[in-house]
This record gives sequence, structure tokens and C-alpha cells, in this order.
Amino acid sequence: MARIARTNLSQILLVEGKNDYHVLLSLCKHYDLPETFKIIDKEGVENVLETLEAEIAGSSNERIGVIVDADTDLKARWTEISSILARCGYLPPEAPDKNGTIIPHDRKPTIGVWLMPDNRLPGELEDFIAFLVPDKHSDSLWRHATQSLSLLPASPTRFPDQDRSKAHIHTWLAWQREPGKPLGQAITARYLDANAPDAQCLMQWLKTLFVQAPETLST
Amino acid sequence: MSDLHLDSLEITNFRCFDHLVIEKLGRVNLIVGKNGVGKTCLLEALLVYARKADPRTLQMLLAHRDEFVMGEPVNQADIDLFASLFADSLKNLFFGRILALGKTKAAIGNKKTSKIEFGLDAYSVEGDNTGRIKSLRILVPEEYELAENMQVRLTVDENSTQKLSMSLLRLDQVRKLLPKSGDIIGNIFIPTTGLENNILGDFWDNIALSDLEVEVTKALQIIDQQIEKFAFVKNPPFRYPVIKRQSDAAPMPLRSFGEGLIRILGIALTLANAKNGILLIDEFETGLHHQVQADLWKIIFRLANQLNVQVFATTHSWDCVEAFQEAAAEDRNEEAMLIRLQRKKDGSGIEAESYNERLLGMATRQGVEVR
Repeated sequence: MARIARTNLSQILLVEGKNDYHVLLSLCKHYDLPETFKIIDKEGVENVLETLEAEIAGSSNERIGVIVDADTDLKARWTEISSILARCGYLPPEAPDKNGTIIPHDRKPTIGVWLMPDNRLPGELEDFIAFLVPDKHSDSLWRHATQSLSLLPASPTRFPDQDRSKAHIHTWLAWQREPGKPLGQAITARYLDANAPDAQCLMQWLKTLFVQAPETLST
Repeated sequence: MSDLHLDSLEITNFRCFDHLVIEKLGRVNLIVGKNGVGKTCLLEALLVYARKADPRTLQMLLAHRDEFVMGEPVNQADIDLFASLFADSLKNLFFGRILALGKTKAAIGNKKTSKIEFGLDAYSVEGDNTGRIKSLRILVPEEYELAENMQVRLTVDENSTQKLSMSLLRLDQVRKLLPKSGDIIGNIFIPTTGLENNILGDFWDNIALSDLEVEVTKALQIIDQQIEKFAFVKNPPFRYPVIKRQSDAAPMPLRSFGEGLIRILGIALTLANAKNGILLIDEFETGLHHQVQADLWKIIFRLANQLNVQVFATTHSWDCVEAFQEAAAEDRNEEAMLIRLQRKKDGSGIEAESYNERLLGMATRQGVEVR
């Protein structure tokens, strides 16, 4: 948690919720990433995008990362972000880089964008977390959760369809040795595999954005 | 909303600006930035533009920074000395403090149209026997050695057309050089130290008993609700402002109530006299508490719109930025602009970043540092 105490860092990572915040914190700790950037929970994608635009014109940051959910339409989310960047004078690519997008500028902050879960699929943080479930397809609890979800009766209080992956991961976590751990702690407790390929890819993007020397960014 | 005097700004070769472009200006502009990025220089450039490089204004700017220090010339020898010292000190107004005769020009104005350009040129001057000038021609540097009747003159061009050429030897004749209030109405620079009582007194004469006097009184009431009226009284050769408070039997000198009131009076009274002009305020926050600043900005937004004044102020203070943001958020005309001057990333000079009201609102909501 020491990461948040440092307030004068000139590199920030904007995330849209406390779950994202704690997952990122746990992953950074697992990968032993140097504390060269501050993670900020902006409580909502609208706030992330508004902050991004204001910070680009702002005076404090050299590099700015954003992690937001692709939600149901990855292309629409990307268009939303790239139009903000284009308005600020950046040249964003037509589609996001599958390894996480990094966009330099000769006189403005370097921008990094990661769309949950993997810059390709629609979805959200919980879809990314599902990639971290070890041996998912042979995991009996995961399979049982899948089955249970498919058998859920209709109910006016039931979650909406787009939150199915959220329900899935939390159902699975409810059945672990210590039931009901939040996502971040589930990484630390190793219920989830922080070394899964998708986690490695996310961490590599963070390293390139925040840890590497500036000259390697522009190439 | 009427058109702004300047909707963008381009400055070339003036003071610390090699070349600065601000793409968009608002009606009320707050200029922020670290020390030494040229906030005051920007105000100076705007004043030179607004007064069309009037030599008295140039001299005032130089004198203000102790770059030209000389009293009134009293004899011919003085006048010659004055001219050569002035020509020499003029270089301080140019980038890198280099002023090459006939070559260096400073240009200030709107990005696309309307520019004021000035510099020193060598002229060939032919006079008739009464001393009246018959013809004037700017010499190219190659002609300097051979030319007879050569004279160094200040050239001012407006939109690439010569507006003024003036012999430095005759500068003393346009002087009474420190500007009198009559000269500066419409385009006014308020330094950190404020304006003198005599100038403020003249401003008061212009608005006494008008609606604008009521507006200025309202501004004073931001600090002290007890204030009912204000006026200027004379004790020759001095004039000074007095206020009448509800609880006091007699009027009292305004300056006895502290720095804040005199700052507010200076700003409000000057704004009231800047109709259709440009108002420049150096270090807005001087002497003013945060909440007072927000209320004063609100009055400025309203009056600037009403009187068609374009306002430029500088600040160092976070309080002042917040107060500006607060007032801008309430402003219905979308006329606020926050402009940050900063050194370029590659160290090659100074650039400007602008926040319009939309972006300023976003920064305020998200707690983004804009200074």
C-alpha cells in the first residue's frame, strides 16, 4: 500500500473502481514493479476519461495510463478514448494494440491505454480475472459454478446478463478455502494465478509505460 | 456577446518570447506558470499591442523594470543623451536583448490578422529650410556608411503598413512621458503595486454618480458590508480615496482599512474605466483572501461582458486559480480561459497551454493541478 503514499510522482495510472485498484496493487506487488507511478481510483469510467483529458492539459504528469472496461462494445469504447486523444493532438491507432496501447507525443504526456479484459474481447475486469483462474477447465468448482449459473431461475432481483462473468468469479471465490475474498486478496492468497499469460501481458504494458527509460517509448 | 479584441495571440521577438502562439483567448483570461516563464512579459506585450507601441508606453515598461532610468531632459545635451540611452535600453524589449538597427522587429497581435510591429530603423531624412521634414526613407543596412542625414527612428507598423516613425531625438516632445490617466483609459495595466491615487482619482471622476459607481461600491462591499459610499477628496497636491461606513460618523481614508480594499478599488475602478479596451492585472491575488477573490472574479466576469473589456490577469497562487474556477463555473457566457505558460519539453523556449471553461470544469471536478 506504500504506493499510494507517494503523491508527487509524475506518472499516474487511472482506474475505474476499487476492484481494479486492488487487483493492480496485488499484481504490481507480485511482479515487484518499482513504485514509479501512482494508481488512482476515479470511481467510474466517465471520471477516468474526464481526468485523462484534463491531465493531458495539466502540468503534473509525464506519463498517464488508463485502464477501463471494454464493456459490451470494445470498438465503441476505443472510439470514445481515441477521439479524446485526437482532440488533444495525439495520433491514436485505429484499433487498440493487443498488448496494450502506448501513444507518445513530442510535447505532451505519453499515454497508455488498456481495455479490460485483453484489448480484444468485450468484457470487464472480471473477465480478465477469469483468465487467472488456474486450470479453469478442469477446476471442479469453476465448472460447478458454470453449471449453477446456467441453471439459475429467473428472478426480478437477478443480475443483468452483462454481469454474468462478475457473478461467475464471485461465486467461485465464495467456494474457495477462505470464502468470499475480494479480487485483490484472491491474487495475494494465490487462489488466482498472477503468472497467467494475460497477467504477464498487462504487467509488461505497465513496465513499458512507467518503468522503461523515456527514449525507448518513442520507438 | 461582442467580438473580443484578441481571439488569439502571436508574439514574436518580444522580451522572453522568441515566438509564442496562444491559439485561443477568452474574454477573461488568467495566466499561470512558474517563475520566469514570462507571465508579466505577456501582459507587457498585450499593453504594447493595445497602445500600438506608443513610445511613452515603451518607456514606461522600461522604466518600470529600471531598464531606463533618466529624468526629464532640460537642455539639448540632455535630449541627445536621452535619445541615445533610450535607443540603447530599447533592446531590453527584444528577445535575447538584441536590437539590430533595421533588422530586429518585435511583432504582437492576433494570430491571423491585426499585428503591431516595431523596431529601430535608420532613415535618410531630407528637411526644408524651416526644419520641416520633406522626405523620409528607411535605409537598408548596406546604405548606412554612405548615407547623409541619417537618423535613427522608431518605426511602428500596423498590419504591415507604417503607422508611425518617430525620431528618438523628438521623444521628449511627446513626453510628459509617464502616462496620465487620460492617455491610458481603455487599455490599462495594473502593476502588483497598484495604481497611484491620482490616476484612480481621475478614474473616479469619470464614473462618479453613475451606475458604475454603484458597481465599484458593490465590489468594496465584498470585503466590508458596512461600506455605504466612497469618494476621492483633495488635499493639494494629493488626492486620496475615502469611504463612509454605516457605523462611522465621518468618512475615513480607505487606505487605513488595509491592502485588500485598495486592491479591490484599484481593480474595480479601473475595469469600470476600461470600456471597449483591454485590462491587464499583474498578480491578481495581491492582498486578497480566497473567498474575496471568487466574489471579485464574479463581478469582473459580469462587468467585462457588459463593458466589452478583455481582461488578462496573472497569478502565482492556487487560491486564485480555485477562485477563478469557482467564478468560471457560474459564468453563463463561457468566456473564461486559463492559460499556463511553461518551458517546452525540449527546452527550446516557452509555450502556452489553454483551458477553456469546459476543460477547466473537468480539471476542477477531478482535482487536476492546472498551475
